[in-house]
Amino acid sequence: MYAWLYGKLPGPTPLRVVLVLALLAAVVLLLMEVVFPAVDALMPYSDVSVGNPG
Amino acid sequence: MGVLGELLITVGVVLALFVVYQVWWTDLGAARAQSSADAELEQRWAAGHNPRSGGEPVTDEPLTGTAFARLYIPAFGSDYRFAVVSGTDGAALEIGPGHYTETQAPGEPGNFAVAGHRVGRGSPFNDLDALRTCDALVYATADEWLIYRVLPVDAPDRATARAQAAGCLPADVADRATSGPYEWLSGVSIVRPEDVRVIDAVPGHPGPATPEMLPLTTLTTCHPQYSAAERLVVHAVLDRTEPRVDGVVPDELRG
Repeated sequence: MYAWLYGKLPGPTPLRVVLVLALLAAVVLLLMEVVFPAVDALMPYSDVSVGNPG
Repeated sequence: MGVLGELLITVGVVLALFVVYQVWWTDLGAARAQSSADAELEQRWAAGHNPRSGGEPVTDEPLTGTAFARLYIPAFGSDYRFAVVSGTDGAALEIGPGHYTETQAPGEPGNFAVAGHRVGRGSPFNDLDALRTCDALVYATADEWLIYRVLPVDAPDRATARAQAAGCLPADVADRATSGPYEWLSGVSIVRPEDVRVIDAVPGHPGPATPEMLPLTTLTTCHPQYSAAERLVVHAVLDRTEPRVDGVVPDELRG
C-alpha cells in the first residue's frame, strides 16, 4: 500500500523524500488539530461540570 | 508486507499519536491559552478596570472565556496557579477552570462554583481528591485575596467536624460551617453528574443566595479520573480576605 503510494509520487528520489515528509507532517497536523480534538471532546473525561448531560 | 499488515501498523501509530496528543499536545495548547488569559487579566488589573470600585459587588459576569480571577492551591505546590475564566462550556474550559455563571462571585454569600478538567488541557483539577480538611484554596481578584478552607472531609459526627474546622477557621465560621444546612457537607465528595445541588448557594438546598449565607467555593471535576460516571466535588468556606497590594501575598502562598 505505502510502496504503491510512494511509486505514485512524482520526481526524483530526493523530491519524493521531501514530499513524503511533507505529507507525514500534514497528516500529523491534521490529526492533532482536527481529528483528535473532535474525538477528545467525545471522551468521558471531558465532562467535568454538574448538570443535565450535554 | 500485505495491505492488512500496513493498515494495522497505521492504526497502531495513530493510536500512539493520540496518546501523544493527550499527554503533551493538549497541555501545550492549554498552557498557551492559560498564559494569554492570565496576561490579559494582569493587564486589565494593572489598568484599574475594576468593576468593584466603590465597594459595590460585581453584578455583571464577564464574557464567557474571559479570565477574572486566579486560583492558587498551596497543597499542590507553589507553582500551582490557574486563571479562572467565566463559563463552563467546552471553549471556556479549554482555557482553564471556569465559573458556573449562575452561581455567586468570589467572596459573595452563597457558592462560588468552578468546574475544571481532570485530564488534559493542563489538568487543573487532576488532584482534587488529594485535598484534605483545612487545605487552603486561594483566589486573587482585581481587589483582593480570598482564602477559603476545605470543609471537614468525611467527619463521622458534628463534634468532630466542628473541632477540625476550628483548627483553621474563626470560631464563629467553624460553628456555622458545620451546623444547620451546612452540617452534612463534606469537603471532598463524589456525586452523580446530575447532582446540580452541589452548586446551590447552600449546597443541597435550592434557592437564591441571601446575605446571611456563608461564602463558599465549590470545585467540580469528573471521577474516576478517566471517566464521566461521577463527579468529584470539593467544598470550602471563606476564611478571610486581604486587600491585594503589589508585592504582598497572603501567608498561605509564602514559602
